[in-house]
Amino acid sequence: MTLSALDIFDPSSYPTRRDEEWKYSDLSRVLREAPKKPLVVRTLSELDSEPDGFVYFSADEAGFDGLQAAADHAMQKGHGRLYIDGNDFGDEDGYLGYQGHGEINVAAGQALVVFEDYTGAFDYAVHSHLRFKLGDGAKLTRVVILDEPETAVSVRQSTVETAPDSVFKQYVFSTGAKFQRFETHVRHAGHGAIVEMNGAYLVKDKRHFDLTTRVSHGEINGVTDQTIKGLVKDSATAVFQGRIIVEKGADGTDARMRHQALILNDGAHIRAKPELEIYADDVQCAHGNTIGALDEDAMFFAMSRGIPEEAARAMLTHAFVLPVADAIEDDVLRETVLNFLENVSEDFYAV
Amino acid sequence: MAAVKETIETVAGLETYEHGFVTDIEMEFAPKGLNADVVRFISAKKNEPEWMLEMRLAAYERWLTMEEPDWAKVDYQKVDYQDLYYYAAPKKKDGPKSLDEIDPELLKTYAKLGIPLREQEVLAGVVGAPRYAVDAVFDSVSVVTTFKDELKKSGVIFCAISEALREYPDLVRQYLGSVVPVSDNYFAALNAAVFSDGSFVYVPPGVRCPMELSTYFRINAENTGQFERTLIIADKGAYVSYLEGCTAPQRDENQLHAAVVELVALDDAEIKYSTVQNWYPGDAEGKGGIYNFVTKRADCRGARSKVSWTQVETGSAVTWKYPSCILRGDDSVGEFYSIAVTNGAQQADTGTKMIHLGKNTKSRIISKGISAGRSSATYRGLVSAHAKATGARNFTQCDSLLIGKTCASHTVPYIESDTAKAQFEHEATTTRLSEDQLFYAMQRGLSQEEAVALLVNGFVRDVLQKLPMEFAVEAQKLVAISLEGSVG
Repeated sequence: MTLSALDIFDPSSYPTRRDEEWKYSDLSRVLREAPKKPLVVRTLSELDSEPDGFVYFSADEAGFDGLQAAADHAMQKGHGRLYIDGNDFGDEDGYLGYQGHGEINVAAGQALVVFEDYTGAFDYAVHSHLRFKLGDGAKLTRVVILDEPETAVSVRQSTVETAPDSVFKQYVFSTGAKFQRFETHVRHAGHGAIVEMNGAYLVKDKRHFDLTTRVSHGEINGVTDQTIKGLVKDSATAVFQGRIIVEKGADGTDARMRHQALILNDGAHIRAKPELEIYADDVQCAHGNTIGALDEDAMFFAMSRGIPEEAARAMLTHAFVLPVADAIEDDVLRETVLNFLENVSEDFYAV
Repeated sequence: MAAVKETIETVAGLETYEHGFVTDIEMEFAPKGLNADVVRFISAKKNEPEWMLEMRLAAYERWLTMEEPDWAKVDYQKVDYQDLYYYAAPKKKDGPKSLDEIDPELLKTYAKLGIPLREQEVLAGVVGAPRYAVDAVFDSVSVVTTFKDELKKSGVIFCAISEALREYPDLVRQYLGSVVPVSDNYFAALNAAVFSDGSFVYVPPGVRCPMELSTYFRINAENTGQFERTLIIADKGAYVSYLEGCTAPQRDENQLHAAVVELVALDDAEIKYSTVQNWYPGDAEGKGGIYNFVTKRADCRGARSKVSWTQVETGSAVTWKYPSCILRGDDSVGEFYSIAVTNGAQQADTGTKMIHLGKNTKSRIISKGISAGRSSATYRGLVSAHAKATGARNFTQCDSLLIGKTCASHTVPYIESDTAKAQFEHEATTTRLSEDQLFYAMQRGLSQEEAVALLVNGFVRDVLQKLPMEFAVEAQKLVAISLEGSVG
């Protein structure tokens, strides 16, 4: 299943469980028929307003036309911060479908911070595909909040092409949806380039969240670091599929992947598939995956200092996902994400 | 050092596989190809009960509707299933009850194998030979079973499965296909339809099997697939350790090996299943070699039962093998220790499945993959916990070692958890031999080969330690042969 093969309006293109890449997320089961095409005409977004020092770009209904211009505008402004605001409104009577793609090039030596904030309401099915291309020494930080309704079907894919000495950092935070998949494919250029792919998910009720990443190291001396943390409760499902590929000749690659999840009650599901695919020998690759309950030692420590059990659990559960957000360099975005996590994690107390 | 020289010579000898000889014994074949009549022919040859024939035919019908799996990271020329013989048996003499009557050619075959367990002496009836019970499978048919009587004294049944079907039909019927159903997968269905022989072990309640049970499989005739079926049942409180070792002669055409092994452990029972697999891996260009498509599964049916799989996989052109444990009984334990070595053009996609269903079930997976040459080694494993498997614990460690620029190593774990009270930990690393460690060893006077051998032995030590002593020696030799030669 290649990235471009999915067309939300063509059910014959929907992957099924038989596609290894979609083993744990069966789109064809969720979306049994093509969603309706919306009647509204998209309008290009205004580039004037700048909340919190961001260039604002409206990506409602997966409309990404003019994205490059907005990114260029942000970089010309000097602050290099772009706010992509995606609101998708569906119907209460059958799915409305949205599909779109956009592209952002960050030229050599340039830096850009992109904040993607996806929300919506009612029944909609959205498929977006963003392409990011970095020049030599460019730096792209991508912070994504997926705060979609439990009725939404959402497949957001992106491809990232790095260049020597470039830095790509991604932070994804999600609460899932009826069906939600966030997929990132990175072409790692090596030669000093650094890729970080972090994320945290807090999924409850019957929601489904799938975080799929693939990093292909094609050249020497590339560094990849990935930390994903998650909480699931009720009968929710969280899927993490991470794959690091080191191609022949990509010596000196240093790649690390971590996935840590807590299941808060019996009947919630975690499906993890952290893969390493290595064709070069002079490499350091490692992955770790843990699924379990709260650390009882930490609980004991907190309680022995007088913190009531319930408060201790709440504190530790909340603290479990925080480190991912703490690593965000941009102050405004870090605060935004921490607030988001604080609000969401109220419902997530480990048992 | 002499030992290293010997190893290098052995490696050079590996180019022309030392077990690549063909024993010339009169064979009796079923007609080439596979159809319902061939299935009936095999069943009739074995004088099987009617229900067995029905099971075979059902499996055959099912197989026809199935597709060969292609999800593994292996690439091979597909087998033409109609171009194989499904039954080849050495012609039976009248009542070869004593070992002297065994075809000398056959005994020579064992001698040529250089069996380290000295089963050949046992087979030859040497007085004072160590006590191992051997059920030798020579192209599909169990030729001789030793120590059967002694085992019988303690109530242990160890015989060919064809014999068990005649003598203990109820016991076989109760368990056969209960762990690996005929429709389980493509190769298991094929095996159920055409299996010609294999081993059957039953250890009665409370009995600790007095000796290690051992089987040698050998693929001999040209174009015969080997389809053994092994069924081991450890009744309540029983213990058995089973060794399986394999070599095969050189062939130009790929040979198919689709075995099924079923283990059943009842309350408090323990089964230890060890494999050393050294089938012909194909020549340096990857031509020939065995296709090893095996389904091995253990059902820890009883509370506190334990199954431990240990495997050393150094042979075969293509390996597709996932010894698994269904941890059904509360407090049951599954273990998987594996060394997979690939060299030349070999491909191995191997791992395990630990399916936690019962409460407080525990599993441990230690997998060491080593790839050299142009080979590829994949670890593929599933660890899953059912919602009711509270207190389940798994620890998985997959380490891969790469030797050379052209080999590949993959780690594909699947972790599925549906309960809050399970604890799963998975770690995997992929590296090449550490230059620092090599330097350290060499500056203390070891040659490069010795240093590499030392480090590699250290790398796989965790698993080697789990093998029964007799096997550990052979395994260490196999690993050393396969590895040391590949370092330049």
